[in-house]
Amino acid sequence: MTKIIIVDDDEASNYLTELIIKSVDANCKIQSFTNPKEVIDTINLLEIDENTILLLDLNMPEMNGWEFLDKFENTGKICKFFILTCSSSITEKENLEKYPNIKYFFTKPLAKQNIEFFLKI
Amino acid sequence: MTATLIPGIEKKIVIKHEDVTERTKIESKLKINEQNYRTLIENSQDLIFTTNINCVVTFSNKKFKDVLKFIEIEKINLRNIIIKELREDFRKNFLTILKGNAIKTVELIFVAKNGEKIFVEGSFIPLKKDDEVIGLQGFFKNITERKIAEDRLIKSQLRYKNLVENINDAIIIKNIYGNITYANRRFFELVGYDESELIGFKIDKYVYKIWVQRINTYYKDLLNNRLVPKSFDYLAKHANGKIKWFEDKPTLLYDSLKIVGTQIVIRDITEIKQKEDEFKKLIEDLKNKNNEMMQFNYIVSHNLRAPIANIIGLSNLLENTSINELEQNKIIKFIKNSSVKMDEIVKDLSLVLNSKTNLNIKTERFFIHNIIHSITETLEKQIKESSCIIIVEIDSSANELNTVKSYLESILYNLFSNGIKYRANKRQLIIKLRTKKNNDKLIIEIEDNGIGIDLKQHGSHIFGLYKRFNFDVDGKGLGLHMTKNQVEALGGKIYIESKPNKGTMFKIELKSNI
Repeated sequence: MTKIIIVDDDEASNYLTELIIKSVDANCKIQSFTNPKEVIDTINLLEIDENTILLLDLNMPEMNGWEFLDKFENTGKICKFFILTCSSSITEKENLEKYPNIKYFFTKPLAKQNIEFFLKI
Repeated sequence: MTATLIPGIEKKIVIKHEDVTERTKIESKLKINEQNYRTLIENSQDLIFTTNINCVVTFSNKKFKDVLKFIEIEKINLRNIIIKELREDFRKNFLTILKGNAIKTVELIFVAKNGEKIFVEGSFIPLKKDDEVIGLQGFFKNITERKIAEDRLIKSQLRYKNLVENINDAIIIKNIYGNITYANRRFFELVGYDESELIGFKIDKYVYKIWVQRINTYYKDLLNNRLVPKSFDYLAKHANGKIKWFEDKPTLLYDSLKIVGTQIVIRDITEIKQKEDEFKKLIEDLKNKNNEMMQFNYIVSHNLRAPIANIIGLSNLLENTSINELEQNKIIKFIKNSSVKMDEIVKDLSLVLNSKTNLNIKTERFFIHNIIHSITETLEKQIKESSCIIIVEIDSSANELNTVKSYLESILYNLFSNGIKYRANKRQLIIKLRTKKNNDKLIIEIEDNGIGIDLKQHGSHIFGLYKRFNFDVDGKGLGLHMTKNQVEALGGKIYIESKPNKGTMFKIELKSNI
């Protein structure tokens, strides 16, 4: 059973992502969070391992995606990161080199092929 | 026995002696002497001549004739070969000589036969016979070449002086003690002082106070040969109190290898400096505008794209028949929310764009206290709920304004409403508004004792679009951005001072154009 965590402040987007993933693989265990701070603060309560997929938004008000990645690294946890953002700007992709944990960049809305792609990884 | 040794008058010498043999002896001895002197005088490089009491030349040596280009000069009145302008002087001198007195040093100008001026320097001695003056003897040196050279030097010095006096750059000379020993006309104009107020004084007379020490140290090092002279800028003060930018271009002055002072070319570079500042400001403005554009771009691509992406994704799901009714309703609700959000963003962006434009906005005269009155009425509910105390101190000289009233209303409304929104719950909220006049500026300060903000962390984004710093209170991150746009549209500036958990003060500077 694949475990997926979504971190995005946009509630509608999270609902949409969940529905699409479920339409591909109904057995996935999905948890959505709109506050990235909360995820970092309660990280030990989440069962995260190297096979966990974390879908991360970049543009969030209180703590953006990059800050989240830095904080996450400090917790010592490991997982597979996928960036889910509403625009694909070059400057953000340049930042990728600094974060080898990031497996891929997806532009919203998430498509079924995207899900099939990351479920295989 | 008397005899003069001057040739040409030897015939007047009468020597009486009883002993003819003795006489012949003496005569022949005299002749030899005479011969010697004659040769000496004839070949002398000096101009030597004699005249009778009527000033007619009775003798002249070869040099005299050569210099004046005469073959025969005897029988000519000496007066006639002296330049006209000096004849009167010579007449007086001649009278002195006739009284038996010598003229030790005198400068004369002869006119040669070809009209050339001959400058001479020498003396006149009375020519006496038996204590009776019978004419004069002249011994002169030809100084024409020296005179011409001197004349040339004077002329070139004069030319140089004229140049220095009339040049558009100011020039001063300072001795090694830093006293001004010379300044040209342009410099006096530049600083507004005259010669008596500057010569002998030091630079603190015209250099702006805070610069004196630095400049003195520089020149001290320069005079000690520790520096290579180079130009530098500083602030100076005109006698009328005006502050100006000067540039010093120093060179060391030497007198046979010893440094004796500095010569400084001084330029008024106030205008250049002003232009530089204008350019800097222009570049700064353009940078800011560019940053704003980038921010705007980012917002359009991120904030606006987010609800669009949701609508696309959610409506795709609706096509899927396997979705149950409960889920369908939820999807439709989210689509609706997303379109409302999109609409809000578009509205915000157009508001922001409007607040940036300062074209066609009507200005009017009004009193700030009236605006505050209407704002407190609008905010009545929030003021009551927060039990806020508002203290207003309006300086009577800083009350009336001529500007866009609706903008100032919006600015002050935003700042008051922010003050209430970000209050510290632990203490009584106090918002103070002060106005004052500072030269041609009207300053409005709005100070609160709220939660404040860490400017070290957020300072550069504080007026940014869609920037939020507190997530306990609702906010869109639009207010301060619009406030700044509006202040700038009125030609003003806004500053923030803040300390976390102490409070925030916004300072607005507007042109006071009443």
